[in-house]
Amino acid sequence: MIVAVTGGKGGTGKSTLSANLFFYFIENYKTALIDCDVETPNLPYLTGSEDLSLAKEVFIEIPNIEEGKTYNYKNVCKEGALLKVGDKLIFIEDLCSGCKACGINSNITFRKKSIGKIYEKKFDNGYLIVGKSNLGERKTAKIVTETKKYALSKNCEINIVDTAAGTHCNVVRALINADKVLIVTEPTPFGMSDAKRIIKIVEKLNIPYKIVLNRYGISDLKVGYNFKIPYDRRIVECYCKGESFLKYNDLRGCIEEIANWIIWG
Amino acid sequence: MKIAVISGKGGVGKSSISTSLAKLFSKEFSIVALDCDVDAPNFNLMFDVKDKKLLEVIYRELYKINENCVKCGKCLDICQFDAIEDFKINPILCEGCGACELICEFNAIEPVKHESGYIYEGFIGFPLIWGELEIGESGSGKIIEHIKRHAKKYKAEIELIDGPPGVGCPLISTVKDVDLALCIVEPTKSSVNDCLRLIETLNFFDVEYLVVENKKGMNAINYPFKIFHSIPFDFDVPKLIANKILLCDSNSRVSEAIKELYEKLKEFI
Ligand code: SF4
Ligand code: SF4
Ligand code: SF4
Repeated sequence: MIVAVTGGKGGTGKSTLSANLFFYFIENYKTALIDCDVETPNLPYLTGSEDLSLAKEVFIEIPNIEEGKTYNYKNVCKEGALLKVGDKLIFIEDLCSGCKACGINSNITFRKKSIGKIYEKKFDNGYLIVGKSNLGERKTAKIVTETKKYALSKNCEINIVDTAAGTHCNVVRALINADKVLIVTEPTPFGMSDAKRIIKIVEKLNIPYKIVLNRYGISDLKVGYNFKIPYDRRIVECYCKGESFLKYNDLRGCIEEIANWIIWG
Repeated sequence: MKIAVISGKGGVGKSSISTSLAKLFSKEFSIVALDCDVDAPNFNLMFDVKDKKLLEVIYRELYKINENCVKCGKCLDICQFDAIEDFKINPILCEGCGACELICEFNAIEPVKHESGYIYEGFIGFPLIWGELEIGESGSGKIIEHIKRHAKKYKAEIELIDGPPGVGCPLISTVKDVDLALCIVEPTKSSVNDCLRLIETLNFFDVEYLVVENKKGMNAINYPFKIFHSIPFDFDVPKLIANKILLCDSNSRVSEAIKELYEKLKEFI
């Protein structure tokens, strides 16, 4: 079972929900918690696990341009990373996406470049798997794909995928292959507008979803939802400490309801 | 002067601070506000935007496989983005690099023009320009560059930019030519960590920055960087935002602290 947690807007409580679901599930199921917010992964802090170990490095292939060598390259690079000026080839590594178009029908060869790393922490009954992009890296989509692939190779019964904020291609990559999606939103005009955007994607991908209304009670805006989590000081406190809030029975009940939907549908 | 308000991770109060600052600046300066969070543009929702106008549609080149395909499989192997499956190109995953078109010997792959985003303009007492990425699209960097181009026509004293989350392509497009970045941080480990990543990125691109602490007192923490200004934690702030009340217009300590921040920022202009 792969369940993705997403929300459109940042800061609606996606990671908080993911972390609490994880702690709930590892009581009974082998569970993987997968942080696909590769630019700013926060699950290590929300699960009190800063002692991660390196699992894998993620590479792309970029042209290996040698000074003085002549290349029969035609200007095909759409990223503007490779330019032919006279018989000189200028390569701007930062702009290269590793698409390898420049290598087709040319004598350009490629070398590996690291764009990010995958970290993990083993729990008694599961794993936290975290993808993290290298600094200044613009194109981070492949890290999302590889992080998920690595996590799924652990063969856990439940896999919780925490996506980045927004509705861009990295979020879509994290959502693809999910069996179910939880859309976390809040009763603000922003939360609602962003949730609408993400719902469109999830519907397009044809994945069953439910809406979790977080910070329930901060306004009387009418929002359709399936589950709710109250705006509560105890949640803010646990969040700050990197702890789960399952020790509070009423809050545990909120998580339990969502977990039941994930398992039983 | 171009000022960007950014935060690494969302939800720390970036937009609630930037909307208030825009309003405060607009009382004393000519200003244009830019919402570069093209994935979730929220600035316009906080205000009653008058006469929303579509300024530009942004296109992107995608590819599709036509009936000439003999299923040789070469394009599947070359695509570095896993966008081709069953001899069909998934428009959501296609980066438009064109490698498949180059490798196909049967002219079976052709470019198609695809709407990837929109740029809007509206007036909220001052002009606001914002972008909206078509859902599931990539290419936010390009949209941001176009937002900035449109903003130039106002020749405003202040260009106030609400930035995108993350430290990837859209953030880099947002900050690379600004004069000052305000990094908003809250007293949690994750936010501090995001802010550190943000600062490293800003240093990488040589951008000047100030760190503003939001929600001071929510949690005890030591910051590994200098805090330029602090805004106190107020449990009721989300309620104000939910009701579209600008923080600077509210009757609270938060409002006072934002006005102080504004006064301190004026010294940089
Ligand atoms: S791999 Fe792609 S992006 Fe990189 S230089 Fe070659 S054509 Fe350009
Ligand atoms: S390379 Fe061309 S002919 Fe071969 S599978 Fe791809 S589209 Fe079809
Ligand atoms: S254009 Fe590039 S990303 Fe798109 S299908 Fe072709 S090879 Fe893949």
